[in-house]
Amino acid sequence: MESSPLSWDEFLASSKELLCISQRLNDGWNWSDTQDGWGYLHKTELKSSSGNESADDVTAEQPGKTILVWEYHILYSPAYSCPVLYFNVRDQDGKFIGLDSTIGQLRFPAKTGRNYLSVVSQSEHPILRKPFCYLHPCHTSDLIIAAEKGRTNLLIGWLSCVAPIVRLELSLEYAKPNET
Amino acid sequence: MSENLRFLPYEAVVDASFWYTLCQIKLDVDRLSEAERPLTAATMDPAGLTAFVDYSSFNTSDAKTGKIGSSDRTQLQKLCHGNEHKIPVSIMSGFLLNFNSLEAFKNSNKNELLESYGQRIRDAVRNGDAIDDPLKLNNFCVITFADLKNYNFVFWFGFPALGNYTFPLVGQPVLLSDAFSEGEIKSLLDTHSSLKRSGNEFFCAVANGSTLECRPLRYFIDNFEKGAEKLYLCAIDGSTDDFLPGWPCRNLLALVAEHRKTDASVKVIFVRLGRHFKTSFVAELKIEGNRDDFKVVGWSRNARGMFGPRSVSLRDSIDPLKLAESSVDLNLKLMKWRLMPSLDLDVIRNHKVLLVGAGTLGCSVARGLMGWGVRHITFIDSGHVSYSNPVRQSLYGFADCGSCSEGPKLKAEAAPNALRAILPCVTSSGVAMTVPMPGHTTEGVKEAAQLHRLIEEHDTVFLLTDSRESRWLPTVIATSMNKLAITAALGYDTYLVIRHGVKSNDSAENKLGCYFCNDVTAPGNSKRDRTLDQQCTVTRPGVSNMAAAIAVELLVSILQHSDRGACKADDETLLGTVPHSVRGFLFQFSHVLPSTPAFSQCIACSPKVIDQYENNRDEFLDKVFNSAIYLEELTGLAELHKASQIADILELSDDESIEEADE
Repeated sequence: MESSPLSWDEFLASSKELLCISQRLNDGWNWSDTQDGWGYLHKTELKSSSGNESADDVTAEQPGKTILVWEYHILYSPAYSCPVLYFNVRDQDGKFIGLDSTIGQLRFPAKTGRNYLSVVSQSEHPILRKPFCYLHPCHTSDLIIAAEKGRTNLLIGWLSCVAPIVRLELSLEYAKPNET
Repeated sequence: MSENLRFLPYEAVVDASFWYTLCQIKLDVDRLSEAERPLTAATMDPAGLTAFVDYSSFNTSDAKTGKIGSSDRTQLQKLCHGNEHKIPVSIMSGFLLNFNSLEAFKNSNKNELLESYGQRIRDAVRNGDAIDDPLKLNNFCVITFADLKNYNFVFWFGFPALGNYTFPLVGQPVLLSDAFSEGEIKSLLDTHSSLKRSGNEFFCAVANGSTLECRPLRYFIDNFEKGAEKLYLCAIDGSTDDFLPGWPCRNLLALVAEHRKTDASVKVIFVRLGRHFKTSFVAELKIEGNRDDFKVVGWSRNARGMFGPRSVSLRDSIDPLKLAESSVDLNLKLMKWRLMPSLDLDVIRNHKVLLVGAGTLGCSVARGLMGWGVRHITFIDSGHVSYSNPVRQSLYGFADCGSCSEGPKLKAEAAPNALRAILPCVTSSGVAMTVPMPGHTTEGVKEAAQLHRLIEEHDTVFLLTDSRESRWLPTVIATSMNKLAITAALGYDTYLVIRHGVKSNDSAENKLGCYFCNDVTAPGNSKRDRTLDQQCTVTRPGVSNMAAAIAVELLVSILQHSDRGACKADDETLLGTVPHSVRGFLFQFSHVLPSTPAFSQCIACSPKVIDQYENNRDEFLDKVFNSAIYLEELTGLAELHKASQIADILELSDDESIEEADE
């Protein structure tokens, strides 16, 4: 099993650590157990769809400013032995905005080019059995193996790599050694 | 007249999980009850003035309080700092009224409803409860109608505000940072932690020259008229718009209006959190209006900006039927997204397929087509499900074979039922009829007309019956309409899949042969290439699955070619080559891909036959059904047949397995 990028137990331990930091920072990560002994991390965030986050100087009645609900789930994939990021973007009424609009909301690294679908696509959420978007886990294990095992929290290391794509803000505090 | 202070209304944001939970509660708990349900909404989100409801909004048993001041990290001085405000830090209680019908939703008296919730606020304002518990100053209501069949939700949020006052501004509002020194602001934020948590969103501040010191709201109400110039009413404000305070502040000012004993102006500090802290501002205002009037406002606007309900359809994410459909599509799209961006799935999805025969081949072909997303499949079969069928015919089970009390099911009924059981959104039907065959019956003209109509209604016809004769009429009709037909035929351990030629627009192009041209003129690739159907019921079980799978994949390859059925043999598409025919030999586990042009004397697709079918149909069919010989005479095949029989015998004579061929 030494070639496995991240075992379930390691995922659990890393998640616990992440939750601990999150609780301290109050940035909204939660854990849900499933009935059959698995579980996942999740977080919900509201974002304005304009995407222009520094636009503080806009006038009071900004036309077309809409709120989108971003839901992030981090699941463990036994097949890939690594975490997988599932997410959905819904409108103010709770309706999924569609894959194309979702892709329009993402921030891809320049080298992805227009080949978005090699990074993100849609699938059934393995636990909730609802359609979710997700980031392909194909390259996750490379990423995790590349990180030095034991020294850092691999889950957090991985998340910090993929978070910018899905506009998930991750405080620098996550990178600090555990204070407890 | 000076300008009135205006308030930014709440935006209700509903998470999909709110609707899932509402469905569950309606079905399992509330049923027909329309009783009010308590709810909570998360507010003071970093994104702006929103009221967010999700699945957890229904759980009001644990007393929920806002997060401001709950830990070191959420003290006001921290939250007002750059990036520290990350999650909604306040909670508002509210009420859900879910109506049983859209009529009841529409007919409910919205004004009375909002007034009844406004009345609760007004009571807390009048009797002073809200002074010590400012959370009582605001609530919300949401009325809904949940159409659980279609997963449509109609809803309307109301945020009641006491509307009998106006607040004319005295001078222009100024930014907090312009009105006070850094030291004053720091002391305001630092002393906030001394407040009781339940009342720390609305409070007051006393200016002492160099500092601003936080006090409970009660202090403001009690001391307002004594030293108004030094007292500031303070509100933590979820709005993010410049100089436009959030909706909840309106009821705070109504509370002041109710209890004031002078009409002096009120100075209000609106404190904003996180990166919006720099938009915090100070306004001075008068209060006008009669405290005995009662007017409640606060229904929210819909997407068109009108006062009215919103609606949302969540069929795509809740309805299991929709989920099944979209998951199948998703699987196929993954192929498109990841491997073949130009794969045309719509042409497959919209293709209507007629399967003549619902036996081993028909069942497997239907399943293969469903796998590719074909949604319109019709079966023709006259047979019933027999006890030997289910093990090889994948759409049937033992129950379809009948019992003592009930006869066996028609395949034309059982097969479409099975498809719908697999994927409810599939459009499938069956026609129990015998395909008229040359030389078999004299009463085939009516069936021929029905078959004609069926082929006309579909895009491709698969010929999957177990006899050579039964493929003849469908071949003639498909050729006449220039529609694609694909034949699959089985031997003991061999199979043939062939696409019948379709005329291209370029009429000079010689089209490919049909099953019958090919059969007669079959090149001598192997001794096993000879007529396969004569032994078809005795086959290795895998053969039908293989032939069916190849037939389906052949269709899909053809559909990816711009010429569709008229594409030349061995043309390439993004899925690879499109052969004319595939002959498989299980004995060697091998395939050959022969192609042959149409045969000018073919008994099914030659111009003479088609001409008779088109122009002299009834008489022609009548003659054919009475005697198959007629066809051979018509096409001049009789001569040729004799010759080919001689060739067969010559070929077989030096082979050792003649007995097998007789089976």
